[in-house]
Amino acid sequence: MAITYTLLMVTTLLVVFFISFRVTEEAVKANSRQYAKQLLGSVAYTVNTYIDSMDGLATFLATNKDIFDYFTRRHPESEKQALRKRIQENLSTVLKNRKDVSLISLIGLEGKILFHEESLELNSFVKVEKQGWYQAALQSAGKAVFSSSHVQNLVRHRYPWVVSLSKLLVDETQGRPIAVLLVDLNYHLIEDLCTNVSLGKRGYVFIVDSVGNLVFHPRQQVVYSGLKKEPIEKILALEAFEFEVNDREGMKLYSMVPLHKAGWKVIAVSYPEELGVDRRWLGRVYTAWGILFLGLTILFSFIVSLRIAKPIKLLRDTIKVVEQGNFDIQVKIERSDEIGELGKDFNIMVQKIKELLQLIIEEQQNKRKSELKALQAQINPHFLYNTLDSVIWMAEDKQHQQVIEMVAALAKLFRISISGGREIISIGEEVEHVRQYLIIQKMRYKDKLDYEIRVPPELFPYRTVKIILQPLVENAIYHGIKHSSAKGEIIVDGRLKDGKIELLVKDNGVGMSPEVLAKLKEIPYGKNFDKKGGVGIHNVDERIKLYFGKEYGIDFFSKEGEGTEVRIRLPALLREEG
Amino acid sequence: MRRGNVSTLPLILFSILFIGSVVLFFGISAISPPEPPNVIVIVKTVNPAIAFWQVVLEGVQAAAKEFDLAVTIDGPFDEIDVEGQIQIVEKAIQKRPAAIVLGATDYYRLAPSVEKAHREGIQVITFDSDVNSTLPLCFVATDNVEAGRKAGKAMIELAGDSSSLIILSHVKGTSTAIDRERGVREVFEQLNSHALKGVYYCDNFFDKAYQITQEILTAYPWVDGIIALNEVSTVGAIQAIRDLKLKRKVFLVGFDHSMDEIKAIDDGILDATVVQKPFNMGYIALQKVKEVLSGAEIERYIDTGSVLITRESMYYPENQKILFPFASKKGVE
Repeated sequence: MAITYTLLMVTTLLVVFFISFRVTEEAVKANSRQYAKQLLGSVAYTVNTYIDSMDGLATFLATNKDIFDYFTRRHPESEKQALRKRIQENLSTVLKNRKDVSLISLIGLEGKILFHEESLELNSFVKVEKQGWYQAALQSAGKAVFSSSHVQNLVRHRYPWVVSLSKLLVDETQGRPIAVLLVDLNYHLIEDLCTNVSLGKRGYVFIVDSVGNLVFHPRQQVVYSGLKKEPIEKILALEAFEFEVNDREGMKLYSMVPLHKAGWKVIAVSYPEELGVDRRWLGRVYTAWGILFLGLTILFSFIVSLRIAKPIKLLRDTIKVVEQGNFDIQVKIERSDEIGELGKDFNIMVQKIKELLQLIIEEQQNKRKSELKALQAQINPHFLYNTLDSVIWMAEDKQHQQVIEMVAALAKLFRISISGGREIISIGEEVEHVRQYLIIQKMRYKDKLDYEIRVPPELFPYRTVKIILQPLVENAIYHGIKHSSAKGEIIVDGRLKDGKIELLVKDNGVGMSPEVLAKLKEIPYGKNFDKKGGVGIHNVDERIKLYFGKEYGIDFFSKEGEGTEVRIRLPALLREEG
Repeated sequence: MRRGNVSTLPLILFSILFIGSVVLFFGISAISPPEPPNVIVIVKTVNPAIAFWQVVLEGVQAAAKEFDLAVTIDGPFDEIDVEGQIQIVEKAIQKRPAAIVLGATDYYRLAPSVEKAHREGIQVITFDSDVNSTLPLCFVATDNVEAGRKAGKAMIELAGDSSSLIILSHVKGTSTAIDRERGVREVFEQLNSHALKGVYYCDNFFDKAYQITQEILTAYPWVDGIIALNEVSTVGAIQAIRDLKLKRKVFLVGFDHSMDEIKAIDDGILDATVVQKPFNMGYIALQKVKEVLSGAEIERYIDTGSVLITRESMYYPENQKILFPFASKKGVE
């Protein structure tokens, strides 16, 4: 019981904790994705701003008339110098306001090179026409081209990392290309931007160009050495995406935003497990709480077992003892709650059962006694003696017919009174029994006695205790009629009244005085009243009550000098019960 | 259930659970958030003018962030200060970090300190320069013999095997100096060349390297070329050649890639330089620390590789990333 209970609680607890752990984890994951997305969006936006502003600058310079003049028209050398100076002043002014641009240069297709500042010296070792940005500009007919990040070695002793925009300037009047414009973006702007991004402890942002070169990567050297790999091919193949990579560094979430103008892709790599809440830490917190609650659960179930299951078990054990017939046992549960009440009620119940059992035992004993009494009633030796005396007397007188009648009646009387040992018989049989008895008595008393049996035949199937009418009739004869001077008359009647059967034995004998009647009624149940006639009446009453209950039995109605009426109340039972 | 158990068992269980829960609960607050393990990185020099070590530390920092390690950086100001570095290691041992990463200034004299750290249960990994002990779990470095071979071969291509050459080394006894010199000598020995005329040590001081170069080139005008074995000796030699206006008359093959060296390549003073991958060195050393701390088996030796850079190859995109680490951008303009 305690184990089942504990198991149930533990299982429920585990399920609840597991579900809430998963829910929290998912929420953290979703949060971190959202966060990475927002961050990536803002980085991409800023990088795009740089690209746009470079592009704007290039577009602006492409319309500068001085630049076209310098590279196309033939001027005297002095004028050319003045023009060159003016362009440089112009470019210097632009550059002063632009911290993002580190170099502006114009490279004429005939080989003339101009920097935004005259003091800058061309790196003599560099072959301009072999530079990637220069070749790209020539190939893309007037459109701005963005390079990947690289070291700009155009100026002597300067090696800045830049992103270059190059654009072929075309003389629109003749449709002839004249020069390449180079605008270098300070690379450390992008570097600082991407490096300062905080995507958890290990997350980072990197940028690839359209062919898969890393424009920026915080571990660029490590990636180029092959110590760290990025899924470049997958990145290039997809337009916009979010995917997960699971390798020995753990679960990584890649999300990407394309920069269309430059053809780049900005990628954020985040580690969902370390954003927000550490998964292992979360797990530990949940485990700790889980163990605490588990402990409380086990403790609680022990208390429950101790306070509820234990006394119930004690009660059950006691019931087993009671089942085996020991009614003297009592449970000791000294508690004021429901369990205590249960114990008390149980004790009361056992006590009641014990008492009832005692009563049943007593009743059974009484029944057996009454059976014995019925047996006694069957063979009243005086009656038998008197009857046989009459038979002898009639035989001597040679009244053969009467002898036959009397002996036949006597035989019937005894057959019915034996009635196969049954105690309960039908009213029909009982009436037949008393009829035989009256036949015999009529023969003996002749004119002194008259009788009438009026019991309606519809009452015959109902049940009754046997030999109840005969003792009453016997009483009526010996105590009523025998002492009366008038002719005695006995009426046996019966009726169905309020669902009960009433049998009546009436006589017109001497009757009883109220004192005698009261004395007769006073006699307690089960006690003999007087050795003579009382035995029969009380025997009848007692037997009826034993078989059918206390509400049934015998009532006397009598007036001195007018006779007595005895009413027998019986249940209307058609089948033998009990 | 016996009557005796009923009263005592829950009591015992409750006590255990209560104590357990309290310990666990306070344990949780103590461990949250989990502290990254401490790692002390001891370099040969913390002098910010020495680009090589600055880039190594860039790699260290990058890896510390990526692998979640709490890194403390220390080291003597001068590479020659072996005693100073020994004391730094002793001090580091007292702080009881999870691991120490060491670039040893002396192959022999740092060995006892490493052994002591090992006895104290501290994981030791060496990088760039090893110690004379089998105890370091891993040695992350350029294969310096191979790097020396590259320098030797480059010089033979420039000056030929019958020329007269000298080696300008940094600190006698340090493993990088020993190995690189051996690599250079192997090349000449294979060719039965007697071009090597001598080895000089600048003790990793720029002024001394400058002085030695100047004195040699003045005293022995027949010297055709110099092989300088590290950044400081290379830069010293560059300055001396520039000042003596011997550009393109004396061949110079150096090591590493400070801005001075890159300018010197552009200017035609430095003909070639053997470049290591310091960023990778720092990064991998810390990566190995992480692996050791998480219980993985690691290799005893990791070669981070080296590349020979000449005037032609210096602007190849793949070499740009090595030659112009982003770290040095501040010194560029």
